[in-house]
Amino acid sequence: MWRIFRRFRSVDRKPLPSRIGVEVREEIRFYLEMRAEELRRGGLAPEEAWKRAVEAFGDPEAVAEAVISQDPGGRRGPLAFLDSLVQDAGHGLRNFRRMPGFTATAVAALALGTGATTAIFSVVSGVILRPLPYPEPDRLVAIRSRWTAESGYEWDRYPVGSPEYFDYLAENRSMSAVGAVSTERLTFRPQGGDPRMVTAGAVSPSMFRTLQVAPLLGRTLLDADGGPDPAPVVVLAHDFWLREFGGDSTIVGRAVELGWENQGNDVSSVVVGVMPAGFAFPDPDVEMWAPLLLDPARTWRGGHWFTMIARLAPGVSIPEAEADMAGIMASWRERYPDHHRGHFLYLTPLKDDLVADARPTLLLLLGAVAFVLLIACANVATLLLARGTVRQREFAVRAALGAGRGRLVRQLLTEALLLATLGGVLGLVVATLGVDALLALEGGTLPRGQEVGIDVRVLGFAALMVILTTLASGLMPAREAALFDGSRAFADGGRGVAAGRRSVPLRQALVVTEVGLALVLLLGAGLMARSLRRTLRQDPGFVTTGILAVSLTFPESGYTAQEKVDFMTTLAERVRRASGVSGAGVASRPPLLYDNSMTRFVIEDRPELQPGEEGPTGSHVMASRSALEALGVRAVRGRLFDARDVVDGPPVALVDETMAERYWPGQDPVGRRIRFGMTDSEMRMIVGVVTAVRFDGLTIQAPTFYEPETQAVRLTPFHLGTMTLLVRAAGDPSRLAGTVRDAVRELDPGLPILSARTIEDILGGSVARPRFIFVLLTVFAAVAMTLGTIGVYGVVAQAVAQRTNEIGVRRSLGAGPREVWGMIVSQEMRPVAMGIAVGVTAALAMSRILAGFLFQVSATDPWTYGLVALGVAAVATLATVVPARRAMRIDPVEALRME
Amino acid sequence: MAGSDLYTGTLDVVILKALAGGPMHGYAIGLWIRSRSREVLDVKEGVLYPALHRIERRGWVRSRWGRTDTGRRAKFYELTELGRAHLEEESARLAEYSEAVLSLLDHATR
Repeated sequence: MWRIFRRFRSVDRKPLPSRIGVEVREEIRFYLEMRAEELRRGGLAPEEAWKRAVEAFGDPEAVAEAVISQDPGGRRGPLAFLDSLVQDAGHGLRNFRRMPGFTATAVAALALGTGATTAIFSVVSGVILRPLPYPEPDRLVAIRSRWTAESGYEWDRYPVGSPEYFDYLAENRSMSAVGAVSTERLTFRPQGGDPRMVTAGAVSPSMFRTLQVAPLLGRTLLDADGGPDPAPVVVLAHDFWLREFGGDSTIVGRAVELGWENQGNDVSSVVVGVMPAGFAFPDPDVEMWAPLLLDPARTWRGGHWFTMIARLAPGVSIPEAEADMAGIMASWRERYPDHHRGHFLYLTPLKDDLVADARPTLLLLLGAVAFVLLIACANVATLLLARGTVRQREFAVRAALGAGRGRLVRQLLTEALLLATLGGVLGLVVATLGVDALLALEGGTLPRGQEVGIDVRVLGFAALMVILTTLASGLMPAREAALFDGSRAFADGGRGVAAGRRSVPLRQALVVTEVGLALVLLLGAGLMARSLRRTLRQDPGFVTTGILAVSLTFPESGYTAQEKVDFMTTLAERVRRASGVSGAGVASRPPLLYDNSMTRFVIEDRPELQPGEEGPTGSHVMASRSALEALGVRAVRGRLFDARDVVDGPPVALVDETMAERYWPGQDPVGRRIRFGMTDSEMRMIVGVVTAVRFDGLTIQAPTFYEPETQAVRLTPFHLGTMTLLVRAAGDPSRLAGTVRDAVRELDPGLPILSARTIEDILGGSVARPRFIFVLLTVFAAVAMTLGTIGVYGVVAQAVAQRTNEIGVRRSLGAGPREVWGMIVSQEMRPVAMGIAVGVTAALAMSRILAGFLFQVSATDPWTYGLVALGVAAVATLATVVPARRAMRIDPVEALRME
Repeated sequence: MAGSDLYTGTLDVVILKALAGGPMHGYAIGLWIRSRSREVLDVKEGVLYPALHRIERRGWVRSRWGRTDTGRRAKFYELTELGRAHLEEESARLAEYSEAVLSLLDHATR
């Protein structure tokens, strides 16, 4: 034990206190003294003689160290290795200090590469890889429904309804617990504060049992709290409890004032428990949980409004649960042919269900950022190679002093490891800042965003990246050193032409790699840019500037359907009179905010659908005439809504051009009758065709139909819980938010405003995801291109430096400076051209990956490919031409004298 | 100066050759090489020591501490049987090699 300790201590001690060390130093001193004496006899002064003796000998300490380091008697095995590793590291650090420019460039490249990669990975880790924070998370599944072509509709990820929930609960043999989950917006009235909207989980009490989460305080929901007449109780989320009640531990049993949209009266709900920090289900913004109304007596199977989660019973696998589900579905199809032909429930592992939407985006970005890291590695390898040629003199001396090849290779790998480690540590800083920037940039649409952070898994990943970058950037320069022939370096005075030449193909291969990878990233960014531009250039069919959309949610108490509409109408009239307002009207929802509002409708006198035939679907909007006018929607046939369309009048509807073309091609829909929704509502007469709109999203040209707000009171009262006032402003619409809020307060001070956003803002939000991808790809591509340019520049500059002699010869043989320059440029551009070719080929091969993210742009769009290839060629030419100019300035006489 | 290659292997043989006449300390070996190579070797003299220790480890020489004529303490190196055999083998090989190179050059310049 003591011996080991001593050995470790000696690692740090200089000079090494070994016997060999003492002896070698004595030998060397003897030599120097004798030599100095010899020189003194030759007539030199003693001091001068000693100086000359040392000069002729070389650094005595370095020689002593060289002898000691090759001596096997001193230390053996792993400790000797450790010893020399420490020596190598020390040597490497001294080298770095001598070349701050090189070191800074290499470390910066690696820090950017590992930092960006680690940042993206920590998002991937938190969202996709990390298990859900519940016991046995792999046994949790989500249950949704799906409409297949046989039903006439093709909808995936559809909700389920309560008869399906109760039947599945009774019939399944695979689950130990099943829960129902949905969310609701409701009004929270804090004591002494303005009412505001909160998101609540409306859940079956069994949800807590299914997830197996325990409360921090009090209890979760009991089965007795749920059912057809839910108890007025709530469980609070940790954050909400801290923010609203200061973490008061006596909160359990206290009443809070909540307004439920669909539950009759504003109720005093009793807080029965508080959940621990970090629990938020199904959405990150859920602030409380209350029992969902689930009435076994409701047997109509046409309604679907929540999702189910379930926990597999012990010993049951997912395939077994799926087989069980298939049996139940077959029986439902028999029992309820009207509802379950082409409509099924299905299982997904809960985690996959939660992150399904984000997975492709994140994997795309992880792949892209890996490219950046690879370029950084290639870049550092280029730098190390370049430095290797400069250092050949140093290696020659060390080889002559007895350092073996293995030792030199290890020296280089140690230096690469040092660079990678420095880069990795800085990279973690970059990653920590990067993750926050990423989440901010992403805008909060990422599921499980709150679980993202730097954890052990991410640290492990960063360590792995350090090892990989060490190998990727250090192996090739080290191999170069292994092939290095020390004697040759002495032969030509350390310029190392011979050894340098050998690495030419290698260096060019690195240029090909860098240019190729950068090109792929640039193409990705270019295609996303084009796609985003296309998206933003879509004519939505309505005015997007100068409009404010204010959404209000009505409590059921105190407002009948008619009163809700009257309230909105009055509000619109008052706002219209305010200054700076040029129009205002009532609609069911603001445009572009919801992308899944397609409903089925029925066309009168059309034959029954054949199995597999797709039924008519459209996007349903309730809008007053003034709202349509504010949006700039015009009638192209027939008329807009008008005073004739009173609540008791014949039901009317408007369809847009898209719907007219799809379902009445070549005919006039005006005068036809349709019925919409899945309920058996009345037939409505189409009174006009209006200009096509993209109400559900810029990339979705959905058939759209409108109903007037007056008749919604009678025909679709259940849609009136939340309505939106569309205000057209003469100037900046966001300035009108105060005006509208005041008008609302005047009419009902207790009515909460759900949201007030300009259409421009909503539009920006609707392209947040593609913009996020575009911004990141652009950043990656810019980093890649910068690193690639540095790489090309470095390689060319080095080539010129190495070929000084050759250029001198050519010049003295009569070649002009321009010719020499042309030769260098044409030769060095070859790997660039190859890199472009390789990049284009690789991008074409990978185009399918990006295709899913693009709108109206082909992933092999020739314009983008051409422009990007040209751009890369131009930048690479510049990076070649500038250092190549140095070749023109080489003076033939000077160059040859160096020989 | 061009052509004064000093392979590490060559240095080894030169040291062995120096020691062929009897034991010597490091300084004497250095002096011997300098006097016979017409000082064309552009290598730091310190190179001698790693080389000495290397060939000692190979068993071609052995060393002991002793006194010089003037009574100073110094480390003396002495050729072993193995070292002598290696010297003969290597000198024969080098002679053959340089002859071949020389005849090639002669032939070429004629």
